[in-house]
Amino acid sequence: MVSADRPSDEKQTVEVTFSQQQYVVLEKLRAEGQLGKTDAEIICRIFREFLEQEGL
Amino acid sequence: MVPCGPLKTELVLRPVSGKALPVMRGQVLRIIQEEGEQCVDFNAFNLHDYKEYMGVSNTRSRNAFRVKKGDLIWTVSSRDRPMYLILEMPETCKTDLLGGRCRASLFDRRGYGLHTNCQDTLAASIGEYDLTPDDVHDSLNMWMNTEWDSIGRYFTVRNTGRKGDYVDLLSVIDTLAVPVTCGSGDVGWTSNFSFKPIRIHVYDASEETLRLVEDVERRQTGFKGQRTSADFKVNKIKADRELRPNPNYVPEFVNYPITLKAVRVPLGREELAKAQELVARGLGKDVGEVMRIGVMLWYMKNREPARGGRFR
Repeated sequence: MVSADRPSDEKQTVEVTFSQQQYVVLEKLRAEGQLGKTDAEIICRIFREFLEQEGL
Repeated sequence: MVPCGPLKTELVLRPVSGKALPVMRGQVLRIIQEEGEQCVDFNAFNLHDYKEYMGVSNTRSRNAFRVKKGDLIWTVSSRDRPMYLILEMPETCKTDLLGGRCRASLFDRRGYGLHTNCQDTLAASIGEYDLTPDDVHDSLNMWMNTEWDSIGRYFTVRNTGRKGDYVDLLSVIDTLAVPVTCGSGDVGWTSNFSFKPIRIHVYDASEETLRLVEDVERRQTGFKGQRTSADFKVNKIKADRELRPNPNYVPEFVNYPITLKAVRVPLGREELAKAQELVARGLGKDVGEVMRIGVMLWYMKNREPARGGRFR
């Protein structure tokens, strides 16, 4: 879902939900430290790469 | 070709017979076409715990509708361990993991009365180890050339097995192997309308075969879910036949209940537009779902370890 709060940098906040089993992946990637420090950073980075890989 | 140890057992399965024989860790079971064009049905059990047996659907889901040289054969999903490595299998040995096994009623319906069939041949073979007809399980069928069409209809075509063809199965655990000559041979293309004998060899383990087994164990064991009966909440084999509920039983489902964790993710205008485009294309019903699916698809493509049915 897209929330109403809009920071000044024109970004919109999206709520992404994960099951505890999917969340294991984020924990692993956070521990690796290559894709970001926070869940939000990691999700953003992965989603960007996903879009790129899908040719979007 | 992997060098095996010396020949330990040799026998010929005449039509329409079978044999249950131990094939231990590191040993190799060789199944040979004595004349060619004969379908072989195959069952197998953990020699030390018969409730762990060859999982045909597990093997199918890890490999393909057919297995081939280099593939692993797995035990049932409750145990999920590699059982055999297919060391040798010629192109002319078409395998089938869909057909189960033929049974008597199939032929009676077709007007043949009591006809030979793999269910009964397998049952007669495993009886030597006090196993019952109910313990026969779906077969890995070798030299069984079946096909299917785009709407899932399934049929048998001409057997392509040649005289001298052989399949080598390397045992990863101690097994009771049960090869039988298929009983449908004379009334269909399964064995081209005639029965032929099959020769069986068992070779002792060699340094090379044991090294391969250790390699399989290193790569394919130690995962969660690869259980023994000692890990089961209910692990006593039920001795009576009637089913009654246990009023004190409380099930323990894995990771139950499923909980959800929400992460708030700031998204730039351009990425949001692309996510909305994916919603419009049907990838998910909203941007949050599209992002979750995107993250999981990325992980599967880029980071998930190989799922690994195939070994070599």
